[in-house]
Amino acid sequence: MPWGTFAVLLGNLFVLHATWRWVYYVSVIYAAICLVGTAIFYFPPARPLQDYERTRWQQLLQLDFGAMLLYTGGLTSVLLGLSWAGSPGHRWSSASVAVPIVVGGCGFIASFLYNFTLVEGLARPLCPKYLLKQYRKFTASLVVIFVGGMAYVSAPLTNHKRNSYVGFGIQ
Amino acid sequence: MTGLLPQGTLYVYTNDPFEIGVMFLPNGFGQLFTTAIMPLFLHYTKRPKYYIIVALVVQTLFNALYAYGISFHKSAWIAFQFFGQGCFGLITIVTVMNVGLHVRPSELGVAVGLLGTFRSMEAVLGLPFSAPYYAQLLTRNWRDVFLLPHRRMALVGTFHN
Repeated sequence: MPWGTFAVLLGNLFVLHATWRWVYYVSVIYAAICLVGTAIFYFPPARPLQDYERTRWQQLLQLDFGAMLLYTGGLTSVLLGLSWAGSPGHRWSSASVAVPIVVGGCGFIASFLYNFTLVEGLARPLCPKYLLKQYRKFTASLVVIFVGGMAYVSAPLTNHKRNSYVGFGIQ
Repeated sequence: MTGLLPQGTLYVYTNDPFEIGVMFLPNGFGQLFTTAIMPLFLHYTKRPKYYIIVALVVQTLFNALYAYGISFHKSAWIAFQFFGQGCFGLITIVTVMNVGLHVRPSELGVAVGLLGTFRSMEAVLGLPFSAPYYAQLLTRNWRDVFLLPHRRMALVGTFHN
């Protein structure tokens, strides 16, 4: 984050004196250096969960695919509805706006209910209930960063496809 | 805001890319100060809760002051960004540190992942509602936004196309 200090200045200088593609080239170069550095110098513990009895495939199957589908699908659908709303042919009262928002909202809420009730004993839920119960230790921070995230509001505006909320939701 | 503030500078003050970059520097230094320097003192003061409260208050205050600064006072518009944007980095650092200290290491991956998810989720949900307000703010017709809801909604499409 601190390296964003000169981001706009450097980006505009790239546009002035080279091409805007260099904004992305620099990101690729930076990411490549980080990737090589991580591969060479970073050695995390092989089994941070101490689950030595499980194979890698079993670990993969423990991921909460149901909640992932409901969460990403629901959020993408809501954003699709919001991005269509008000545009020509999509009035706020029209079905093409209401249906994606309602269906997506239900899917989004269902992802949490699914975590809380249906798969209580699942090993790796996407949003664990026991974690959210730790209000002062965890949930309060979640609320704070949710509110503070307003500063991120314009992140999609930097996208060249500004009306592509579907793409942003997938990201 | 990192994308929107330079856009505001472009629409209101100058179309010189170099000057836009220079005007953005206090914003960048604000983030540098709060993400790299202020956390150095966190373990001396030992009051992360107060860091969060102060950061949220300052961020809210100066985000509101953008509405005053833009198009009225160029220097204020530049200076407000130092405080308004810088606090976001501090909030991120302190909340992640708070979770890192309290959550078990085996749950840390999910916990920090959820923090990142909620940080971005607020933004993607807030944008479609806030964009028309920002758009009108930039064009100085903000009165219409609050008085005519149907026009406000119609602006969502025009702003993004």
